[in-house]
Amino acid sequence: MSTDSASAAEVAILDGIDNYTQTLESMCALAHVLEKHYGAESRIAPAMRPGPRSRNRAAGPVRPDMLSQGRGVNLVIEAKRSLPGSEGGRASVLDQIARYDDDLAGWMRNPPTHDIVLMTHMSKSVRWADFLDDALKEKRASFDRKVSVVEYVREAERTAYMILRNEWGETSNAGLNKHLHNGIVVRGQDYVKRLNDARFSDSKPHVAYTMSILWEDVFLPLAARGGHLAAGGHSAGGPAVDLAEIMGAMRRPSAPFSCAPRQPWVAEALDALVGMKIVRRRPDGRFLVHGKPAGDDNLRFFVRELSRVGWPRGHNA
Amino acid sequence: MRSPWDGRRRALAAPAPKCYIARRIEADMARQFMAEAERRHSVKALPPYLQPLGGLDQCAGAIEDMLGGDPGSQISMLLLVSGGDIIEAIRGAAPKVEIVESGGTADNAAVLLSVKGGPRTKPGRLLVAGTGVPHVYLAITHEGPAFVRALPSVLEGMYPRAFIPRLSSGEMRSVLEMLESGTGLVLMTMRVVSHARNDTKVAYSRNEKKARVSAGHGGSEVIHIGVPYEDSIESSLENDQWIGEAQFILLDGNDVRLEGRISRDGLFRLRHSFLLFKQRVLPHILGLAGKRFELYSGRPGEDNGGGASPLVIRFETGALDDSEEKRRFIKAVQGMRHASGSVYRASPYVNMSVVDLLDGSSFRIWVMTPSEITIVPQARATQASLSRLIDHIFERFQEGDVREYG
Repeated sequence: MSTDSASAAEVAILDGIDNYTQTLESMCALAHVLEKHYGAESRIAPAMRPGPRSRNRAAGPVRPDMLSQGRGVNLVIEAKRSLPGSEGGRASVLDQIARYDDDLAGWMRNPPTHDIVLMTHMSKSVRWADFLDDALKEKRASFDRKVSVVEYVREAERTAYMILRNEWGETSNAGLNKHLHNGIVVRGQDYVKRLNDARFSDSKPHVAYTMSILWEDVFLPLAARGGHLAAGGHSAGGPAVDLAEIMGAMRRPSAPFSCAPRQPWVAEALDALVGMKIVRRRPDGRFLVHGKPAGDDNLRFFVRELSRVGWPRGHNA
Repeated sequence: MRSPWDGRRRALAAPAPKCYIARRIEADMARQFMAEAERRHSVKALPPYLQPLGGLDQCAGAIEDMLGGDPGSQISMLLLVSGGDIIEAIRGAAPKVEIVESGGTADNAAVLLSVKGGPRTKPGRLLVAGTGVPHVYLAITHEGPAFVRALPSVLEGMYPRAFIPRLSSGEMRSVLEMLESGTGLVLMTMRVVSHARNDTKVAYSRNEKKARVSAGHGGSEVIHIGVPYEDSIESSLENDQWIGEAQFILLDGNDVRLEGRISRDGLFRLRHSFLLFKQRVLPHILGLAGKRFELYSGRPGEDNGGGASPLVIRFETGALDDSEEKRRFIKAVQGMRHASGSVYRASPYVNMSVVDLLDGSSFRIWVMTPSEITIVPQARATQASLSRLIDHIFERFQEGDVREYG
């Protein structure tokens, strides 16, 4: 992401967005490898619930970041870019893994059992491995299923690619373990189609990112098709949409490897667009195009404006 | 010697200041005069190739007679591509264009249009005819250069239902090769016009006789006069230029059999003969347009239950080797007219979005390797918009080979 002449606050937001997309990219790379070698089908942020043999059938649904199922591969995948700093945050991670370490329903085909994979950036993988090691030794955690930590790192010389490598633990699939032990290099061009579909995961991105996608996927096409952007100008008026219609457009049923953003994220992005007078909220609660971002990069405009006013609710994933 | 009355005579000869009513009457008279001229033009007898109204095959003989009978007359043809009903697409160009008569069906449609005069357009007649190649049409006219020059802007209202496919430099070269090999005659290129891309310095060689700055394309225009097309095209491509136009004559001994001009913007102008071009060269051009239509079809996510179907622009050499080239590419895409977008990543790879403000089509563009640009049409994207985006990349960044992803 170009950060020429950006303030420190802008750079921090842009870095946060980059971390978010890099985590999505790591899942796309793993999904590509699993499809290529094991014919695996993968889903982003699937809704799962306790299965019939669950220890705690009264527990609520869970939503891992990715689910992959293929020949000899049944993986529940959680992507965590960084290790929480607080004890409470770390305890909640163990609690999250414990909930995946149970019989789960919501698979494409019911598996005999499954493994849990924690994906994290290479810079944090050793700390994650030490954390899980310590938790097992100190009996703060115990797992019935196989748990592993897979690290990722994005590299680019002349060609962009992602490296995936096992850092800790293993899966039930010996072939996959061997692959990951040696490290897998995945070319960006091989998973670019999947990456194109994967705009959101189960984690909240920075509001600027959601605003940009909302503006370009919903408002601009809608206004353009309504003939309200003639000759590149923007006119107030045109088709108006409500939140339900926006959520419908963001679900992107034609993009199979995608996940819709949560409604509160979209509502927050709409608030910010209204605040910047880019979108107008009518008294009936419907939204329509009102202005346009200045400059030739919508995302950079939103980042600049949010950092200028210190948007209070924005945070990086 | 000056007469004492000279000053008085000059004063009488100078136009007297007019009152408001006199100016209004004068303006009304001028309008009436223009309307009468336009009416006379519209009732003027149609040339033989437009009566009776027919498709390309029906009117070819009459056009040949017209060009053969008058060495000064010329015929101009503009390529058009439409995935839907061409008549509906033409209606989109109203009020600049009015349908006078229509006949035929689907790909063999023949539509006679009357183009209205305006501040930048001259009135005239235009035949839009099916070519036999599905979805590819030719707009044919005998009108003069001023009318022809304005045609793309007259027909822009057809976007995105129909669009003018632009030819790449490679396709321009292939048409010139076909003129030579397809006819067996001697091809002489009188003039080849190439355009430098933005911020590219043009190096002039002794072959480039004349150069001037063109305001339209943002880069310098280089005109090669009397140079064989192979040399001028090779020199242009080596200097990071794209080919805009070529003017040629086909010689049979000392006889000029065909004189013409082919333009990157899908426009062909011919003198002396039509049938030679129609039989030997036109099928190649129509094939290029037909292939383009097929390649750009069925791409958006909404057309494919399983997601969008990407296209790749592949370069022979690593056009995007370093971050500076990637920045140049991003800047080039951001320069697309009537478009908006974001840059999600600029390095180490490029991930950017483009929304076409003319029709709401949207695309994601990815650069993951130095030799490929991947364009992913989103849920809704038209062929016209995809064509516009790729042409823009060709003219502002670099030309490549468009093919399927994967």
